[in-house]
Amino acid sequence: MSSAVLSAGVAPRRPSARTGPRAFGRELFRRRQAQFGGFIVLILVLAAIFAPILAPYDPYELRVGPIKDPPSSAYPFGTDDLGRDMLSRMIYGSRITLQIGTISVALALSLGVLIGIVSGYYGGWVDAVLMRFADVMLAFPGFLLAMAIVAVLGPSLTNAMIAVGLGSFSGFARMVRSSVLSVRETEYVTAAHVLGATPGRIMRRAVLPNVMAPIIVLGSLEFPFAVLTAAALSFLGLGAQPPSPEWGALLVGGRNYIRTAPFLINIPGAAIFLTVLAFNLLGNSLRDVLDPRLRGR
Amino acid sequence: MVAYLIRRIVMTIPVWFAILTLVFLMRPLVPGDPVKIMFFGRSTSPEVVENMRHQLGLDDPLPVQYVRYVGNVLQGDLGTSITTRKPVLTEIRDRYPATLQLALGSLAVSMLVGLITGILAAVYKDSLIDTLAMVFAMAGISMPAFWFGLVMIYFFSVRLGWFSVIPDGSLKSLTLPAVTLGLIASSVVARLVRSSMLEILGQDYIRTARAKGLRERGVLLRHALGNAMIPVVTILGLQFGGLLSGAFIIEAVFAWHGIGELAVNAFAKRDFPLIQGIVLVVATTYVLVNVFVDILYAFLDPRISYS
Repeated sequence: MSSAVLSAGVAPRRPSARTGPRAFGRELFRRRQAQFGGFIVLILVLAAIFAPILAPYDPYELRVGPIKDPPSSAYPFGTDDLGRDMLSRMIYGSRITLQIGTISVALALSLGVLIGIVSGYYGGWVDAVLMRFADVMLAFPGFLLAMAIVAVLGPSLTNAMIAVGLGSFSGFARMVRSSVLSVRETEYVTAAHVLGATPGRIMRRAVLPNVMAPIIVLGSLEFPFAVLTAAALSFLGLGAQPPSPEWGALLVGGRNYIRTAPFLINIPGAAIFLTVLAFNLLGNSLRDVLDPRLRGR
Repeated sequence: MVAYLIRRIVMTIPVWFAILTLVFLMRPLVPGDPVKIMFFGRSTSPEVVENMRHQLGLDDPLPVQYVRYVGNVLQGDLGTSITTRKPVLTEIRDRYPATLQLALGSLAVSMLVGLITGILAAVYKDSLIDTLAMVFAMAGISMPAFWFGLVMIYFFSVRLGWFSVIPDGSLKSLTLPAVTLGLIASSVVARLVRSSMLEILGQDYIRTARAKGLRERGVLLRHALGNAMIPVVTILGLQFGGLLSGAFIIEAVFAWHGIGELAVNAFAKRDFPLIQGIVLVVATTYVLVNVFVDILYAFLDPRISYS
């Protein structure tokens, strides 16, 4: 991926960088995929921000209506086995979903970028040690690694986010490292050296901006993975715990009533699916715009 | 070639030892007293806790524990489960075939569906078929396995009554979990086969094959598919890792008595010897499958040099 991102010698400037954020947005949302993904993400963000205004009931309040009442005009998403309003729980759950994605990706990104840049820039034994570590982490199937980390830290939503972040930083580290390797040999980095810039400054000012495109692309594709993994952890009882309205946890609550109240699994399930789909579509479009050479991969 | 094979196999030894070390470190890394955590929720006297600590060898210094752990693992002793009191290896051995069955079953489904969808999408590029195939692939990548599994149970077991809700381990009861996991995994295969086929279909030798009057089916199956399969094989290893992980979730959904179910129980009860054993065995399987795939890849593609 990364070798295609930068060609040695010149600092590449993409059309989006040349024409500013507005043109970048226009280029991005020209795509139907991005329009659909963006629309759903927008709904999700609005629901999360305005949850206290939008939610008709307190998401934790018991017996606001009849138990396991199917969707109706009074309770558009029905009520759960304790008579809590599902719509309110889903709206508050969107906050948790966004939080999971953001925190896990931020953790994976910061660790991965730090390790990748240091490894690629310094090379030698630093590189060897860090990359072997990343290789070992990559030798575990991702979900198993997340489960193992939760086993160590204890089951909770926070720990699930940490587990997802720690479980996926090595991919970022590998990608950033190979991008740095090609940037390191460019003339502008040599020029910065000659001008007496410190390694920290070179990494921050010359290297990092030039590996941003693949970082953004990978980060945006990591987001749906994080949401999916954290929801799966909650489903297995290793993530969010009751009475949290986290969507994966809502699904667990509903699975015992699959015969009598299938909407209790279908509403949170469909919400997770649509959210992940939206972020995947947005991530794909971002990749197409930021790095046309990666298109279709 | 032989040298390459040997080198590839030897290369996995340090990786495996690193995995073993990380698995060992799981217990010391637990914040707080691991023994008390293992007894979480159960009433115990301090003597019992002390006894358990001694039994697990946790009163020794860490390096001593490490050497003993590595020695035991190399002799096939993965410890004893705290909850069932059975050897961890026996527990895993009892469950392993069921998980392997599920993973292989879903691999077969994913390859079959993925190949057909990918080839159709490439051959009818930019048509409705291509669009539908890619929508299917995108939906598969975004699908939460646990929800899809529950939906499958709802339709095929609850509504239609075709399968029993509780599987009995027979081939018939494997169908639903394997199809659920396989369909999700097929989306990755479909995308890869499509892009790989598109690349191959633009090659000169395909044009030659068509120019000499071969039927389109012959061109696709004999000339294009074989070459398009090479990158697909590479992803097989990664795919298998995904299937193993997916099996953890699918087993929980379908009450399939494999390692995944064992793991979920072990994780919930914080049965550390069992957790460590499962993580080690699954990660080892993953590493071995990847070595196998690498070797297979070298056999399949004569252009790869082994020097």
